[in-house]
Amino acid sequence: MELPIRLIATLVLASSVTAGMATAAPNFASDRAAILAHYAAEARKADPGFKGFSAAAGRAFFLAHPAGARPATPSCSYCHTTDPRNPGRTRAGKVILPMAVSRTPSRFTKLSKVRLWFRRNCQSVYRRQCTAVEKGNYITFMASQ
Amino acid sequence: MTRLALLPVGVLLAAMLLPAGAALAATPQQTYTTQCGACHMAYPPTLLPARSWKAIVANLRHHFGEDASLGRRDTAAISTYLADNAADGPLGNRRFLMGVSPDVTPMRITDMPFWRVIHVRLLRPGIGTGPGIRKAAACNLCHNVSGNGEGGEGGESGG
Repeated sequence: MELPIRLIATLVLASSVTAGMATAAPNFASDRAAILAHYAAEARKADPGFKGFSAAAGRAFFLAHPAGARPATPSCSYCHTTDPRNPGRTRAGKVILPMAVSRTPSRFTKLSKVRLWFRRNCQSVYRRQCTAVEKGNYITFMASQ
Repeated sequence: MTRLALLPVGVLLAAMLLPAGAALAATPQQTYTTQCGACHMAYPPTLLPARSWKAIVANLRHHFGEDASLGRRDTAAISTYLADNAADGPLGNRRFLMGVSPDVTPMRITDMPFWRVIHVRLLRPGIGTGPGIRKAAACNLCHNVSGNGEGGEGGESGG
């Protein structure tokens, strides 16, 4: 009776250590896929005919100079540079790590952070909230870079 | 016997919950450094009076030309940290209030009389508060700012 319980305890402890290691090692690709799936579901809700995200549309969105942009932030590329593999620079002079996933693998892996920055930067550059399709396109473009 | 067998399950649950709990326990100073320091140097709060910080935090949606608004919890944490460490806060240094009228609410550190006296050379046209404001906003370009969690350039920003 004593032995099986000890065995179970050891096994469960061992598995808890493994689980701890699994959460410690981030899986950026699957986290990013989950965020894209989140925006895809939102896009489908708005338009049942939604076909999927486009890196090319994301690139155009990134480079565009919208008519109503705040003067300090005329486009995404104004701070991030026109090549997202480059580091960017804030107006106050701070370096922004590249948006391209190949250069900064942790990009678009935490939904709360992605939401925060889209909410604010869409407001600054586009003077409105971006749609789920625009956000998905943007992430898809950055993931391709 | 069964209770003993449940113990490791508890350990497993605790191990799963611990990282999330640790992430939530950011201090107000860490929140300030992470969020405000994403775009600019996390300026030492003692460089402005509490009323200035209050006015700045109240209008983060229009923050020097950009939307810098945050969630309610982070905004509250940052407000507390700034109020405590402002020049006239309990942990601040009142020397920085030199020459500031109580009726005035400076909205920039570069509007503070102490700063303008020390940095008179930066006030030349095109350097200080003109088009060259970038330079005046980046204290670390000239100062070796190592405190306040600030490691010079290379901070992370963007989502």
